[in-house]
Amino acid sequence: MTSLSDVKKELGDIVIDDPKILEEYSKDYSLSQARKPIFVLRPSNEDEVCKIIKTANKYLIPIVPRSSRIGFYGASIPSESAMVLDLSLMDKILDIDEKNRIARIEPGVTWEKLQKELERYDLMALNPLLPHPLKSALTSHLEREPHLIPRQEYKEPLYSVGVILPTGEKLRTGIADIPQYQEKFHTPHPPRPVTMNFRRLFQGAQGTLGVVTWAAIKIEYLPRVNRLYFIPFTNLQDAIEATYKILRKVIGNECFILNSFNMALIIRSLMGKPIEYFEELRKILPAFTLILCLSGGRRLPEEKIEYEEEALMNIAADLGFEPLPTLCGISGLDKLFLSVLRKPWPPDKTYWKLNYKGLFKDIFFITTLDRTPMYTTLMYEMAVKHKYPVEDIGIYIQPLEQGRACHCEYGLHFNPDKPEEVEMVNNFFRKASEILILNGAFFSRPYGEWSSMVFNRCASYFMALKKLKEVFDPNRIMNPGKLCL
Amino acid sequence: MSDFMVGLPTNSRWMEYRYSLPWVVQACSRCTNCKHLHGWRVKSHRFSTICPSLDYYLFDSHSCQGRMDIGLALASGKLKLTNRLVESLYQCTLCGACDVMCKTQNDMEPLKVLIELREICVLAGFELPEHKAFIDSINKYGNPFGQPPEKRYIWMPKDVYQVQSAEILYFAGCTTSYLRREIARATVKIMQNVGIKFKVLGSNEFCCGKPAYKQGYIQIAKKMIEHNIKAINNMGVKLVVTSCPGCYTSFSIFADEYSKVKRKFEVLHFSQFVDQLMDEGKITFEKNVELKATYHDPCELGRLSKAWRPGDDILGDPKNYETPRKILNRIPGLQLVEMERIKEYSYCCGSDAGWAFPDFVLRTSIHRLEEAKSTGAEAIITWCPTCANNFLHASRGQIKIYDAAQIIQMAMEEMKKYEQEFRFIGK
Amino acid sequence: MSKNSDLLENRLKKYAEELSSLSIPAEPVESYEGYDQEKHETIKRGLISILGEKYVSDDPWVTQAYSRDYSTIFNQMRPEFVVLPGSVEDVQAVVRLANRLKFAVIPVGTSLSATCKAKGPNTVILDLAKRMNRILLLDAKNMYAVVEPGVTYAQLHAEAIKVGLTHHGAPSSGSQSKVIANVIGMAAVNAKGYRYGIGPDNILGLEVVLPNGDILWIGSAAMPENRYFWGEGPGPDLRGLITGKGSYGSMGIVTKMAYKLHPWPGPSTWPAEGCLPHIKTKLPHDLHRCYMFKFPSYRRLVDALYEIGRCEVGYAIHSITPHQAAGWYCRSNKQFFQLYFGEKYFHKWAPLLLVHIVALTSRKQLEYEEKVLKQVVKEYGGEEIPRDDIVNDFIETTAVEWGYADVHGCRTMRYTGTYAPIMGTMGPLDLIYDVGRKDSWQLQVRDRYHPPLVDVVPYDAIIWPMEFCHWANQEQSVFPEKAPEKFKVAMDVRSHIMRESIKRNDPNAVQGMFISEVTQNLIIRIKNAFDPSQISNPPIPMDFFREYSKFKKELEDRN
Repeated sequence: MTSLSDVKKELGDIVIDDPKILEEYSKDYSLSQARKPIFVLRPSNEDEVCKIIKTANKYLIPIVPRSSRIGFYGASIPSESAMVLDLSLMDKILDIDEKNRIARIEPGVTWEKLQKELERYDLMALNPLLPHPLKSALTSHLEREPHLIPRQEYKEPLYSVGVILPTGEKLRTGIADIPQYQEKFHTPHPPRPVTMNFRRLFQGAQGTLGVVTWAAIKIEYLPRVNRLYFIPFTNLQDAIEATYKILRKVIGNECFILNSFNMALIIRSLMGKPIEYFEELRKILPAFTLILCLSGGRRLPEEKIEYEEEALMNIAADLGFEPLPTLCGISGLDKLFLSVLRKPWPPDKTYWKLNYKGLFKDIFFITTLDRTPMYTTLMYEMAVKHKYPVEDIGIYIQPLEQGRACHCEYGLHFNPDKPEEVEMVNNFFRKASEILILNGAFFSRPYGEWSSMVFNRCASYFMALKKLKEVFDPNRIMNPGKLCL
Repeated sequence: MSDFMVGLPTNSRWMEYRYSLPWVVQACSRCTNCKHLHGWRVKSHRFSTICPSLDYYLFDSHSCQGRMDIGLALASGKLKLTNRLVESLYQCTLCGACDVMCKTQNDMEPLKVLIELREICVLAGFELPEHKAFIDSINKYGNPFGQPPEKRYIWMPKDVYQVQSAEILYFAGCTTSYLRREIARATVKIMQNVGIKFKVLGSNEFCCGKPAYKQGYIQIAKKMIEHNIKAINNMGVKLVVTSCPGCYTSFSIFADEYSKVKRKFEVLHFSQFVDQLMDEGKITFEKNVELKATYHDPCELGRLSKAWRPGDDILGDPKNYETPRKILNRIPGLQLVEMERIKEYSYCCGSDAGWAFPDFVLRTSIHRLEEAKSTGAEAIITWCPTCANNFLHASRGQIKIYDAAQIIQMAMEEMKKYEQEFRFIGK
Repeated sequence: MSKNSDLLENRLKKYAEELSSLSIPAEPVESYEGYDQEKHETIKRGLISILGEKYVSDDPWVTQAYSRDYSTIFNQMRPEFVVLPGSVEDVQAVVRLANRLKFAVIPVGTSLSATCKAKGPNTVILDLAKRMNRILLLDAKNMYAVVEPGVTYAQLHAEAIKVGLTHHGAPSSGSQSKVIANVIGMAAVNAKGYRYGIGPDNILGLEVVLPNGDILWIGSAAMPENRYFWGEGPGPDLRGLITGKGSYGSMGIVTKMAYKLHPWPGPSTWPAEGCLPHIKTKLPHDLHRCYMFKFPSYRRLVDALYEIGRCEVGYAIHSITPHQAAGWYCRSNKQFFQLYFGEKYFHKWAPLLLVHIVALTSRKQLEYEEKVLKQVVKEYGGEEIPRDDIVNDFIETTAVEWGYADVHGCRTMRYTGTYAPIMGTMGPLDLIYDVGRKDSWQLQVRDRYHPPLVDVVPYDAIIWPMEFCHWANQEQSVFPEKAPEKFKVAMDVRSHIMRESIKRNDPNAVQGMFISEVTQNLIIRIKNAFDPSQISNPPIPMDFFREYSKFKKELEDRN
């Protein structure tokens, strides 16, 4: 019988068992069923993490790792009586290798901290769309969150990771595994004869295979000269066609599509305007806007923007669209967006996704751009069926790798204090997800309810995952229940 | 340390290539270029392979690389000849495409190895019954088809005349004489039409030896070519014109290397002869030939038509790729379209493998005709009677097959009458 | 007939003598330790019942054709069988049979590698290239193709450029290599890695027959609709199981792979001219340009590379050695020895940086990149190599390969018959510089073995910068004359570098040796979990670990 006091004695000060704090860790914004952890553990370095894992293995107590100080998908809510391993105290930017443009960060480094620090070197990490400032940058990379720049050369920015395996051993991926390098050098691939790329195995694993204690990520030159365009479309099909053409010509850096709902919500939230402003604005904004940022290179930046702009205008003339510096006459809209494009959401403003009805649920998946109109239509049909206002679906489409695929995201908003609304949205979410999966939407990050929906349909993959899990974590102490593992 | 330290190979053959079977088989690095069309010449997935033997039989042992491996093992005593191994060695058209691809990357002559391996089979007493049959026929009748020599020139039209004093000899070749007589007829009619005085060996014309050479019967091939050279020398001709590229290379390459009797004449393939005549203004095309066609480069007239030296800029004589096209492009009404695999990287028709493996040849020809049809052409034109023969068997009327001589004849005015001397009536 | 026998006997005797100093070909299978005739027959019956007699062979001349890698020197062994599966079901059935009857399966594509060869009895080689060779899908809009194991880079390229796309680039083994085999086995490094990374960076969905015979679909292909457009997930990315470095089928046999395609502004058929072997490619100058820059030193070249990467200009870039330049270019051994050794022509190019730029966006983009490139090169002391006949010819016949379609890589083996890699490094450019500069201790070891190794030394090593110079890859080979005792010298160089690396505690040249035990053990455990019968190309990767451990133990014992 496990004596919790033995565990506490072994781990010492890093153990937190204050009920109020445990309560805080029992839930997040996802509305997943609240489950209190047995303990919260707050290590401040890797050795402490090692010790924790070894102890957990010894006493067979599950561990749920958590890096962000905020959660939206229930990933860090324990599904069995477990200890939450809060890595947010490990918040050092360990290394910025300016020359090779690689940064090494601990799990607790937030987007805010990271981008601020990198800006000093004229560098930036590749952030997703307006991430929460408290979101862990490492988690974003581990979870393969899409970033805003669909350039092929910017793909897969996570290079290597340092992991504490469920056995308590330290593993490094790529050439970082070579002790003589002292974790200074990083490649996304291992040297021969390492026939497996472990970095890939830990991505998307939600902590079920080990605890990542640092990550080496690609960082890029921060362009100082930029020109942002808003390209309005009345329908998604046209926006997609334009996106294909623009990205095939390798034009621009940041490139993504928002519908009027999301655009209005972001603008309103950035400007700190009242809800009425949002309601008015979303009526006059175009149905879909392609946001495209032309950025100057390190040398002759204006010349680069010039040729990209010319190429863009040629496509615009061919397809009959018009790139604009603003929408609806809003002054300084381009500057407003530019101010947040390479940063997280401003901490002093209400997070945009929470700024409509108080809470949200995102449905997101990977598909090809040409299918997004079909999925959007399906969502609208489902919305009607579930009596969810169609106009309240936020749509965000992030092209990936020069447009070869895209991250397609539908935001559903609801008032968490209205149980009937919560139930409606939950039902809609569930049903819509099933329908989308049935129609080929690829849920590459099968969080929460999605995991059973997805893994029920890919038995061979799941069997292989299980086998892997048995090797890594024979005692099943790492985040059990996640990903159906 | 000096600025440069130089280590040269101790075996000088790395620096200056010289053929021997062991050298070539061990030099093979298994790069696999022999199985595929040169990367820069590939235009589609469908028509991107180059080795008919591998395409049909599939195992690597049927590729040039595989046969180099077999040669290595045989020569090292790690493999023994058996009937089935011998069969697999013969399941190859010897088109030389592998040789071309290999030479793009290496100083090697794998085609010579392939022939030498056959020679070894013959020396070791392994003969395929079908080969034995045609060799016996060559020995007995001077042709591989078991046909009497007196019937060799019965195709000669009654209104075509020989000229005793002519300095040009027409050498029809066995396939032309016995199987594709329409080619011979067209050829002699063209020559007569433009006033070319020529004569023939008649029943004294033996097989040029090429089929025997290709199946490893080197001595018999030598015997044949020496006979022909002697006979032609005695006729005092300065130029031999032949319809068959195999005969052409037999006289121009094989004979020069193997024959003790040296020829006292030049030899041209009919395409080269027509080119000359066109340059002299003797051939003009007055009639339209409304046809969309593609040209098939015969191996022997293409990549195998010239002896090779390492570092050669070209494989085969480039004139032999351009000349037929130049001629055909001059024919009014003829629209020439190109297949994907042409010139030195042309895909074989199946060639001489048909003695023992007719199915293999048929499949190979069918594949080549599919390529021809993919261009939208109604017809495939070639300048080799063996190619024409193989294509005719494979086409089943789906695409027209022509020898270029037939097309030329169609484009010329009716044969002019000219002075009679004698008409060849055979022996 | 007896005269013929005598002639033949003498000839074969002479040949055997000539070969004895050049090669060590494979022995008959029956002589291998552990060979069991009864087991052989049982396996044969099983294979024939799955594939049919036509596609199964144990004929010694057939297996001989699969016994060799690019050298004929060492480790030549014949498999017991070669089979030609025609579908994933065939592969699956063979693998299941292997598990029941306990024989090894080795998948081959081009079969260039020494690792995909029999290493003992009870081995069946699956030649996947002959019947599974279709391009199943080419999605021009979403820029990917789904290929079977027999598809070559050249075939994929030819089909892709028709629709304005190209692939990541053929490796130096040439575009006749099979895409799947090369990417999974060899990691496919080439000059376009400057933009697109290495081969495994370009894999999307996969279909794999696992060592136990189960079929695993990875990425979006795992879902019922079976579309291959995306490679990650669901959840953990199981491409990681087979896309390390050189898995060679040890974790399963890939039977379908979706491969990324990239924009190609250029003609829809490859504009080659001329007659083989002197074949040129003249790409439109307003869309493609190639530059050959020489720098005052390797250090300056590396510094310039860093800056070029930061400026994000260039399409395909790499630094090549004089040997590589000469090797690819020369069209005969005689020419090579004359130009490279005699005139030392190519050495005046070193250190050489080859840069291709492509008008991915527009002609103005080309001009912009050219401007920036020349600016950077000038700042770092570089200059364009003056154009003479050879340089002009080189650009159209050779340099163009590295940007687009490598076709003549195998030429480097013609001059001595073989080559031997002695070291390989991955990491930041500065690390590559440290190990690759000609006065590094590693290359000084190399230089000590010349002669008898064939080459003109010293020279700095090759560099392939990756992903706008975030990291780089480097390899260095030596060129022994093809003869067993000479090849042994090349192996000695490699061993010397390995031993010295351990002694100096310097992992740069042989990084794999310094991989942690944690990683090694994890690989072994995963391998054992997925392949408990050890039938998938054994003993990879355990043999590498054993080789490295052997060196380490040797030195420990000596100390």
